[in-house]
Amino acid sequence: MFVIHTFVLVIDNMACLRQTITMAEEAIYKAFGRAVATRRRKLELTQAELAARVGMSRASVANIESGRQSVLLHHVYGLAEALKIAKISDLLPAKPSNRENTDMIILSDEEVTPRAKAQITDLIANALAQRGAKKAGS
Amino acid sequence: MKADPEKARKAARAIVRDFGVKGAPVPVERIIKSKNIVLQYAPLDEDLSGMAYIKDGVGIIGINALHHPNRQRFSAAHELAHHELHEREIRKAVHVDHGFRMLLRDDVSSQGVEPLEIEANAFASELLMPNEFLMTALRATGLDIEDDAGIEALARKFRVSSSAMRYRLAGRF
Repeated sequence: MFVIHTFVLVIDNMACLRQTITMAEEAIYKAFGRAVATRRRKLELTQAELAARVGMSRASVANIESGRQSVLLHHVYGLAEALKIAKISDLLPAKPSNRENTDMIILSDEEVTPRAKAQITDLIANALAQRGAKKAGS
Repeated sequence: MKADPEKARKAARAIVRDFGVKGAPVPVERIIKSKNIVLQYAPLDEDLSGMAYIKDGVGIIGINALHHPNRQRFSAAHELAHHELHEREIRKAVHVDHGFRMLLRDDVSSQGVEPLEIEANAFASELLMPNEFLMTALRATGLDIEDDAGIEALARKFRVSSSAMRYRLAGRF
């Protein structure tokens, strides 16, 4: 019983922590979760199999994938390794604040999902920021 | 616009030559960077392979980081083709590519593929699997198109997917 009690407390703690984050920050965890889920399915792993490789519970993997749980840094490393992602940055979503000045982009294919459009918008913002930083540095 | 895959292959051959590439695998990432294009990897939806765009004079290639590295190489070469051949189009709008879903369609439906994609695939295939290098490799070992292990070994050498290699050998790019 004691164990179950502690577990409930931990969940409560987590819920408290999550109340302090903004919508934009929540989007980071959702995007990270989707990247994990997409990659996991690609490797044809179940949530339980991935959990075993990383050393966490299946419920934690499910929560991370749905963006309900703020992932811990050592879990990010573990997940990247278990998902055979060479560079951790490949699993990380873009900083949400980068999105502002590229909201007006036009896509060649308007049938892409809003989520894909957001991913592409982020990617472009990051690329432009990277080039901007290079110019400023030179 | 009618597709001109031969023009695309010619452009790819010129790059391989100008870059002084001596053999497989062709360093597509270095070629892209040498052209001052920003190459960016990010997790994208499964059906997206990549994108090409020129914004305020900055050339951008985006690749789905969740795909297999060899598939990423083909996507990168495909997007480079849009920069080399379709500059006008990718200045106007972000060009989004869905990759192999289209390549793996049968002959009848793939006739509906846009000319831009036919050219980009021809370019990418010639860039990563240059005819000259392919002939050298085939002369050394010989190859039966039904020989799966042989095709996989060849694909590994060129660092492309085996389906890309099969398409190339069947002359369908």
